[in-house]
Amino acid sequence: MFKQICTLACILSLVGCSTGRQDSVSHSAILETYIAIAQAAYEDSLISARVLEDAIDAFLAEPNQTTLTYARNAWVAARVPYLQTEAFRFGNPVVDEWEGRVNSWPLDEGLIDYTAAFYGQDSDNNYFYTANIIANELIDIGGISVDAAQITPQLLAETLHLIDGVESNVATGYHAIEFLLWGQDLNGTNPGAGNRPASDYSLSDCSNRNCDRRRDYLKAVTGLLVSDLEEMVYNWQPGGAAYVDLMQKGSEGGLATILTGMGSLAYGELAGERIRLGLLLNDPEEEHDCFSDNTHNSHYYDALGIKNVYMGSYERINGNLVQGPSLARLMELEAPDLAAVMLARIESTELAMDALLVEAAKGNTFDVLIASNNVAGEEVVSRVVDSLMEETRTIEDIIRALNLQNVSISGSESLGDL
Amino acid sequence: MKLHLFIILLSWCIGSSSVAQDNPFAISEAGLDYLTGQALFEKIWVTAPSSTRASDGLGPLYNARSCAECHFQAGKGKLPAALTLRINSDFLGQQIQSSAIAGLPAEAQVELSYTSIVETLSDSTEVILKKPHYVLNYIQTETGRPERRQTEIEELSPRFAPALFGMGLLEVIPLQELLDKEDPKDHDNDGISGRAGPGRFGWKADVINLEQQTGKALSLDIGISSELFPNPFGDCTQLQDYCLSRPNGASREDQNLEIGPPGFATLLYFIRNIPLPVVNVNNMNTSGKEIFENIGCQHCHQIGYMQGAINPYTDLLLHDMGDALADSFDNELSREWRTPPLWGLSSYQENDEQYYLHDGRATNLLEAILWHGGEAEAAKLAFKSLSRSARQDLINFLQSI
Ligand code: HEC
Ligand code: HEC
Repeated sequence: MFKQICTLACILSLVGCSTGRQDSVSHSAILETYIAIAQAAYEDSLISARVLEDAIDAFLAEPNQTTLTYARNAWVAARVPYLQTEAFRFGNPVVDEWEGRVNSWPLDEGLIDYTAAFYGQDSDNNYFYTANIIANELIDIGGISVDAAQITPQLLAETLHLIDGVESNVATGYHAIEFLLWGQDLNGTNPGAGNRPASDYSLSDCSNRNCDRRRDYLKAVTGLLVSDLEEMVYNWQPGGAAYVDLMQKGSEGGLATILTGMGSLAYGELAGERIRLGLLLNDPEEEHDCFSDNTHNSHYYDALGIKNVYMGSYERINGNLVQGPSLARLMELEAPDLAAVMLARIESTELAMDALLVEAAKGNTFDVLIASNNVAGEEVVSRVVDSLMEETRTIEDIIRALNLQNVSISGSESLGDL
Repeated sequence: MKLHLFIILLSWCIGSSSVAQDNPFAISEAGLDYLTGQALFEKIWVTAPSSTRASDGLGPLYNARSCAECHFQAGKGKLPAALTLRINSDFLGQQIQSSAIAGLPAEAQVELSYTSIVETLSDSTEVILKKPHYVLNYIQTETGRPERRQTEIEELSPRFAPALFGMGLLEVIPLQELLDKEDPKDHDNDGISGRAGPGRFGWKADVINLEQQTGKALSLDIGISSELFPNPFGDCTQLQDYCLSRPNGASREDQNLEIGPPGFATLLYFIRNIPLPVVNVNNMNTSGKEIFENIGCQHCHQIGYMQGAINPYTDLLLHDMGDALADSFDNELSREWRTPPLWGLSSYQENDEQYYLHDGRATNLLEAILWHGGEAEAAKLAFKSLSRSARQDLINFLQSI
């Protein structure tokens, strides 16, 4: 008991053991690298979202299985740089506040489009509940009437998204596009992703009705993603909101921000909310990229994003390297033993994540691994959780070693300051 | 400064079996359990597709899709979302569910209105109190068609979502310490006759522990079945066949629960370990605290459990609070409410919309105190005759705990 009290007391007082500084890696140089990576990764996200937009235009021009596959592939590719930016989310309020518009999840599909029969077709009482925006020009949710005759970016962003204050009324972002490209994953924890037919977007041979409005939706929501990413790219330029915020924190505060982002993503968000919770509930709804069955990649690139900001190195989508003075180097100089531990932690997380990719290649995607009674799957997923937790502990050791104040690694935004 | 945190630590030391032994705030298994439990608390339940064996998910009838929608950041909620209406109906069940999954009608839409009452304090300050009224629109009827006209329901008990700070500490107070404070026949003649309810949680002290309360909330408020409340239809009664006829997939034959035991245990772990807001003891208004004690507030809002380790400002007993606060249930409990804990009141910030009392009717502490009646009538009268500055001291004190 007393040991625990003591541990907590130590954390609270943040006893430092900083050694004499060698000036070969300055804090501000580390921050410069961090910002350069943010700029490059958001730019890459924007570039690949524009590619996705082109692929979707091509698909809508000629909706068939081939063009649909291209569009889906473009979505998967667009996730790669975006997920690596998630290490910038926690600790940078400008990013965290914006994130809900582009990456909200889980989402209630019924708000957007038709869903499986379980949702019921009988709308006898539809003055109570008619969400499905694509099928309805006038919607009435929780007593709020919405004119949805024209599906426009404004309608989605300003009126429908989070309507009625309900967080799962997600109308915009990557996951809304994902749903529109794949449809519901009706395979539960069995293999297989969503399987929406290309004809859902056909004007001549329309399946599941309202293809014209579905097309409008897909077009509008993709356009919104692009403009949201444009905004974030701008935020990281000199003078942009995220850039200015970070500068105002000073160099110590800047390092604290980097480590907060790394620890919070690894621990509460990834290990806890996105992975452990799914394992606990055996619930495919807990799969982060659930319509496309792309969750293994989602976790993998999140972890890579953490590594990027620590190592001060990011490989762009065109293969170029963005590199500079890093926390890793600073630790090598200041606390070589701890630096070595951190490298080992990063490597073991990488190995655990690799195992997810290997399983996925065999058809055992994340939703299959978390099925109840899948003992082998549970082992693979647990290893990811454990290694992320170890990594976070070491991040905490680094925070102590650098004697940084005001760092709180939290699971998510809400109770962080209790 | 770290008083409350220390209290939490202390409660681990005391080592009651129901409070986890691990430090939920460290980066550890226990810490991850806490965070995962928090994620479950904030999890938005959605209607799962029919072929998902693991869960039917939300509903069919529900009030909200997550715990956090009503208990915002584990604190109080906001009106009207965090208000539930208990009823006593063979057809609609124990509670009005104002939402339903797609294709099903909600049980009713609740319309809230107020009438104003003016209270005058001894220094002739006037305070306007708002008494709530509830009207139900489109209430479902046994004909299968909703009633379009407005309906006033006879037996109705409104309940506003309370803050959940320190719940785990309230749970470990030994029962005997609570029973010692009972005085149902008012033998000490102080006008206050607290008595223990069947439990210590809920506004009617009718839920025995946090495990029951969590299971009940999942079932009644969100429509999620768990081991304790395994019915996947939540508060859908035998007579509501339109609701019972919803396909329930494989889950019934599987006895598959919408939240299994490990998930439930994790949520419960979080609920038991929600910390109190950190308060600065040096900022406590000591003259306000004295007034609180002198005018009799502490008869019900008690402190000093477990040798002074737990100071929640409640006796967790039921008190007759007078007609103005009564609900319209036809039983002897309608005027009785469990004293709510006052610790954690400091979590409201300056500009927050505030809600107090069992139905959230009071928008600030002054109003909350002026609604006191029944056994608390004497304390209220004493409060009304305080000078303006003494009143303010008392309120400052409440805001600092
Ligand atoms: C629709 C709003 C709503 C939702 C959703 C909700 N609650 Fe509550 N909660 C309430 C109300 C109202 C009360 C008071 C109940 C009573 O007095 O009977 C309450 C009481 C409680 C209490 C007891 C507090 C006390 O002081 O006695 C706990 C614990 C609790 N809820 C936990 C939860 C958990 C866990 C969840 C999610 C599974 C949840 N609640 C979801 C409205 C809600
Ligand atoms: C007879 C017991 C009793 C006495 C004496 C008493 N209270 Fe209360 N108090 C209660 C009960 C019961 C409630 C809940 C009533 C309701 O919600 O309808 C309550 C509610 C409150 C609340 C609202 C808490 C919340 O979170 O909603 C405050 C504030 C409060 N009391 C302060 C005081 C003060 C200050 C005094 C002294 C002037 C006092 N009480 C005296 C029993 C008492």
